[in-house]
Amino acid sequence: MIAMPPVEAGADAGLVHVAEVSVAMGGRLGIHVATTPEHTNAALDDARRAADRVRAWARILSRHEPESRLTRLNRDPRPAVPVGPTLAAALDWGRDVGRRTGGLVDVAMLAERLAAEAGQAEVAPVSRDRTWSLRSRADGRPGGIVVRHRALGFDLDGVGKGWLADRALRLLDRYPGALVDGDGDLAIRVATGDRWEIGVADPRAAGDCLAVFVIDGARAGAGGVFGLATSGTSVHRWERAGTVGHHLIDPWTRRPAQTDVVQATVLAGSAAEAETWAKCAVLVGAAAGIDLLDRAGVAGAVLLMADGRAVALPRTTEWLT
Amino acid sequence: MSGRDYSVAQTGASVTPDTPGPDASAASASRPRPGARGPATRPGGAISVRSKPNPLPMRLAIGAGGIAALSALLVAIAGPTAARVDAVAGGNAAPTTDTPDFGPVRMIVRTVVLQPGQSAPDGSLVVPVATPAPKRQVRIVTCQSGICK
Repeated sequence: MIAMPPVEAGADAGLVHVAEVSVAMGGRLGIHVATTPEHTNAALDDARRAADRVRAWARILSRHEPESRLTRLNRDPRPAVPVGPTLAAALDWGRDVGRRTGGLVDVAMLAERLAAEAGQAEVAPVSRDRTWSLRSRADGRPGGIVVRHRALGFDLDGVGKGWLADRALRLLDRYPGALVDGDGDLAIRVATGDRWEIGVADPRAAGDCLAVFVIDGARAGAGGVFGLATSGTSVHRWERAGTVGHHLIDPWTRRPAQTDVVQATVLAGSAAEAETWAKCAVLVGAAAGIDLLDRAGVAGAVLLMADGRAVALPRTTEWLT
Repeated sequence: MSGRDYSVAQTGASVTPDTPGPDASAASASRPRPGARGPATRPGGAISVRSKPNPLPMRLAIGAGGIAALSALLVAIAGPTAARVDAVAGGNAAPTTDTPDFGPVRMIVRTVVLQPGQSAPDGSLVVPVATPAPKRQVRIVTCQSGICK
């Protein structure tokens, strides 16, 4: 991409929001740009280019694509497999997330995820050795070498969309503000004098919102970067052989988590962070989840519980209307 | 007295008074006066202790029993009086301090939504209902993947 000069906007310059909305990663992809009126056309062009890049990255990282780099890695019988820079960077983030969450988020649980989708009551142990590593390539080329037991499979669902949204946001650095919506996981940069209003969808009623977050440039500071992501069990849910399952796998039981949280929305410093902690909150339940989110230092969180109650971190109110 | 030595050992035990012997006149000459404490000589020089039981404890017991009986009678007589007064007055009597315990009181609140043009009943509490704020329209929504519109 050609380096372009930044679009300057004064503190009281009227910014306009332009948007490019399309489909990617099996859902909605929205690229929103806050720009001065005279740069709207350029902003729309850059938004479309950013959307194309996101789709290209998704084709590398999706396990649903039969020839994606991730699928080929999972199929490769060798114990050490070279991977390209995009997949290496995503797996590096996944490894980091595993460490920071104490193993609560584990990107190497493909077998368990597939078993849950198939409605299998018990998951056969894939391998006693669940450790894996990412090493630099000896030839100096970008990317890395993934070393793992050949039966260990990787799944970036639950960590990939936020990470992609953050990456796409950086493509729009020349604009005062931007927002990338990766199918509900949002990366946000807000300009001084600008604001983004984002609703938290109520999964029980289409079109209704549980809350509305306001990311205000005056409060967040110029160029403030945030992430807002939602995870839950009420959408990707199925019943097989009389067993109800969903896609969030508890790493300790290796089965869909038994939790009282239907949906968790987290506001954090990046979309990847927000997505990670939202998933954690669902996995551990409301009581432990609120404590976990508080200690993680997220900016705010709203949890919808199975009994219909909505609970939030107290400091969330600073960001709600 | 004949001058014989005698002594009296005074104890707390009751002493069975000597029954007069065949020669009562001779014994009576040396019998002590009624109520007096002191040695009594018996024919033959034997010494015995005579004392009447103290009537005071028995009198106190009888008195206390009488008072208790009288008190019970008074309570039985006075008890139904308050209820009868309430009944005669048609239930509008001033509340007494001795109200029976019927358990926790259940408060029943009846709420009525007033329609335009209606007025509230006397003594009722009118609570103004604020007009609900219109739903906020937002273009951007965070949601679980797959349902975002």
